[in-house]
Amino acid sequence: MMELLTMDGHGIYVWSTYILTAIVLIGLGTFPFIQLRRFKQRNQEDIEL
Amino acid sequence: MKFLPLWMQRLASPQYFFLDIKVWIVWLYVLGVVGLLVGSIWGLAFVPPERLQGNSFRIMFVHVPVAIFAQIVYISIAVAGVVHLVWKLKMADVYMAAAAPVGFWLTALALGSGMIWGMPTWGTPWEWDARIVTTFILLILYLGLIVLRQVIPNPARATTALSILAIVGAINIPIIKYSVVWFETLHQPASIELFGDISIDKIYRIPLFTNIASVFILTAGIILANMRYVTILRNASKNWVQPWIQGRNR
Amino acid sequence: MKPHRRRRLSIVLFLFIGGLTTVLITIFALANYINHFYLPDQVVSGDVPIERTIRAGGFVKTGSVVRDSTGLGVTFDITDRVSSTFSVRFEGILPSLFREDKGTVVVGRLNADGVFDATRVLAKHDENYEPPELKGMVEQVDP
Repeated sequence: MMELLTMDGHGIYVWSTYILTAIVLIGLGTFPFIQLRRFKQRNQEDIEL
Repeated sequence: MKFLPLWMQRLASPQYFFLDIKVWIVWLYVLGVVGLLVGSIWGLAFVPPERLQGNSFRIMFVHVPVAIFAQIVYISIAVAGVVHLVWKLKMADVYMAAAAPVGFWLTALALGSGMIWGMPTWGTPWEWDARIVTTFILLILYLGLIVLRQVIPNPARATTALSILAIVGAINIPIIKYSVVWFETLHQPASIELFGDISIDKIYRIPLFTNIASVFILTAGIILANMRYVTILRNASKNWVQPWIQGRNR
Repeated sequence: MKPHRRRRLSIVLFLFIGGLTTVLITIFALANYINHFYLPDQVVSGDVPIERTIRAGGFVKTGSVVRDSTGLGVTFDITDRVSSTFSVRFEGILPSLFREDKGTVVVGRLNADGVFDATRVLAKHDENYEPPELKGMVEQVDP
């Protein structure tokens, strides 16, 4: 298990790449849905006012 | 358009595109994420380290797929630019607006993962060789596609300018592709040729091709999700938007 | 296709093909500046500036790597595997992928004696990805 983390000293490079990629892809994937929800909320407030 | 099946004809209308495409996005997301998890876990834990590079080569399973689609997304935007200039389809403009940020981040990931990979293998994260410079130019072109829309207030003019930038910028793509063949570069030549040899051992192809297919599926999903958002922004004043805001329509 | 569309399409295609041709001609005219490093035959034939920081690259000649008995100094030859070979002197830590018979790029100055004083040594890796040879494992199973 430790070997999978350290990867003979290359672990820091490999894992930072995978984590960075995961963060960017999650950000890209959720962005349109977050924006859509904001748009909806903004317009609902407009109607109530 | 009459020759297309009914469900496709429906997608050409903003209203039905917005309502119908959601189920597609969900499936593309699920398939893409599952594929990426399978391919990445396989590549991280279930293949032996490479003969010379050791474990650092596992970065390839991320670097190669994102770099491929960083370029393919740009080509698709240039095609949308041609469609806009020649046929004036509204959907082409929506596509360009939705795909540019995705391409930007894929290019940033290709450069970032390449820099991290360069540290243990080349001994440097960055060298101004032809492959790295042309990929950096691709990042700036994407930035231009995003910024141009904001600095040109007239939407019709902005789209025309964007289309021209996209088409002229596409010249960069074959140069990226052949930079490692035409010039002496630190970057190695391609391992996968579409109509040729693959110099990657069979056991490494399964996780690599799984990730390439998954990045494709996920990229398609994200671009469609962005298109869905852009569609509602541009149609905010239309009658069909109100029922959706009130929650009567999904 | 309607005539006005055909006209627009031909303008677009002209724009792309014309641009591509211009850029390609420029690039090939400037190829010497775009190449990231000089090749061994350019170094040997004196086509490179002396006592100026440049990059040169090629393959590390098999059996040429000699480490100093003390310190981090190392001397090796870079070859194009055909006819040209030059010597490199370097003090520092070599990248882990630096191997004999593999590609390398050195940054430094070529001195008047034709020896390359490298300040940095980079490893080029090739496009082949192979698992380690299975020999060791077979021996373990069948002694």
